[in-house]
Amino acid sequence: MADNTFEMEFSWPSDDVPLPGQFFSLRCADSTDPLLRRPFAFSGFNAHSARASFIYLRRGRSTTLLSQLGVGAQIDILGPLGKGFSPPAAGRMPLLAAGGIGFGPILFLYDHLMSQGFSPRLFYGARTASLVPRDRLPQGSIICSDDGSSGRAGTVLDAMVAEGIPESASLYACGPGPMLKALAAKAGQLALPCQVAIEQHMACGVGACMGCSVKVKDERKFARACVEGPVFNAEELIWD
Amino acid sequence: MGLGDGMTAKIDLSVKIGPILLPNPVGVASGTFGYGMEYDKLMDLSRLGALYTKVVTLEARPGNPPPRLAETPSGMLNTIGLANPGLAGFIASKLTELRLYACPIIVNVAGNSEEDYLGVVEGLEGQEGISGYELNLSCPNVKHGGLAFGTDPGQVERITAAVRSRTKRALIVKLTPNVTDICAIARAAEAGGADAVSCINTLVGMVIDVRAKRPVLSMKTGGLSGPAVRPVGVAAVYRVSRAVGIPVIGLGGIMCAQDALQYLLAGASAIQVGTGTFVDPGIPLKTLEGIISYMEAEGLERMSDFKTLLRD
Repeated sequence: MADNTFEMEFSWPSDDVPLPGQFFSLRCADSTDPLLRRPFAFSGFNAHSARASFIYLRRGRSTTLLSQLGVGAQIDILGPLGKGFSPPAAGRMPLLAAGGIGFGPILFLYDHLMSQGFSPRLFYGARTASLVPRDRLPQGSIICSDDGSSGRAGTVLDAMVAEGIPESASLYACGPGPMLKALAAKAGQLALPCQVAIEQHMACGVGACMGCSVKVKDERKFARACVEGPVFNAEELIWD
Repeated sequence: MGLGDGMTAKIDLSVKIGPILLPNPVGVASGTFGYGMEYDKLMDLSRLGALYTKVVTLEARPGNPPPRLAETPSGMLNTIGLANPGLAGFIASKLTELRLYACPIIVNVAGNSEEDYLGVVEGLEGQEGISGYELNLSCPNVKHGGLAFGTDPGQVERITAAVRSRTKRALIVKLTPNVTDICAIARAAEAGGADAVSCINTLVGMVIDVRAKRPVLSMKTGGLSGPAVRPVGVAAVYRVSRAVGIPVIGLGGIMCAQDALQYLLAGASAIQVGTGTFVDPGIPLKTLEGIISYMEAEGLERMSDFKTLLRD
């Protein structure tokens, strides 16, 4: 759908239905190298056909192996895992921000909120035009690129400010660390609720190994991205 | 402890470790299994031979800053930093559920002074549901120059003896491979009164991000585990089991029954699956099934039958 960007769909075998913001862990090869499973956030779920999907960037050995799988291949997954997005409070206007390969969970959230009667607004940002998945973004999405080759020049935050962020907004974001940090700061400044879906390297994916922990402000000091996250209230996190 | 996987028609899978009898030789390694709850729905814990808990230190420890993980060829590095709720937190929030599992619970213990280790053990002695302790001696002894306890036979014997005098429960000393002579360490643990030793803990490793020109891990180095270390573990078990009379519990890179069998043939009385559980939570019990199949095919009737099998 864009440079090295793929979406994969697979049949979902259980009644444990995935929610936006949640992820699953995938064993990419029946081999010891690459060893660990890889976490991927859901980009969609169709309850009628019982099919789940995820979007990934082909950048390393694991994702290259994935991109080579053919139709009908079997995959080994653990999921759904993690804490997903919470809906906005009644009367609040969902503003969704997706950056780079982070747009999968935001797309899922968009579809979910639409089906619940909300009117979400989606802002998407990428470095350059070749990375923008135009056909996959919903109508009305505001697109921006760092180099101005697609849509508005500048960051997602620039675009949101330019459009005007209503007082009733509830922010949701998934994307690179600096983007989340900037949005968190803005939300804090405007005293708006803001949920972010973060990305972390993982080993077990289920909360046992404590490998994916991120810094939080409260007395816990750390929280697990795979259990307490990957969705966090932006104000909980310590941003480096 | 019922029959279940403890006995098939003619096979006795039990393993004696000091005062306790593990129902079978397959355990799950400390640090890879939390305190049980996280894998509760993914695996039938009641079929495990032993559950070695995440470490418990006297005080709560938050752990190291991220990044705490790095994947390596057929392995991974971790620098979790012994994150745990501490003795009081363990008793208040983990032990209640842990003791409901049918498998033997071995609590992994660490500290930075002898008093720390004793504090944890003494604090748990009055608690039911614990079958034994596994001493993690990879921590620096801050009162003696900061060298890891487990690198000095004198310290190993002293701390093992001190803990031994405080408990009648099974006492296992976990050996680090980051030493010149692991057999000397094992003998020291035996002399101190350990019921068994487990080997090996992780090796020291490092990954550097060449683009960023920085070590990947927050603490620069971390502990290497996974299939890459299996031959190191098997060699350690081979040597250690010939150096001491107490049982040796083998771990390091076990991903399947064939790997476990290498350890058992090398001289291990039991094994632990660690990193393998992350790759596939089915591995521990599949490993158990594979060991049973092997024993059936080879006509082995009990775990001690492995001792004389290796032709070397």
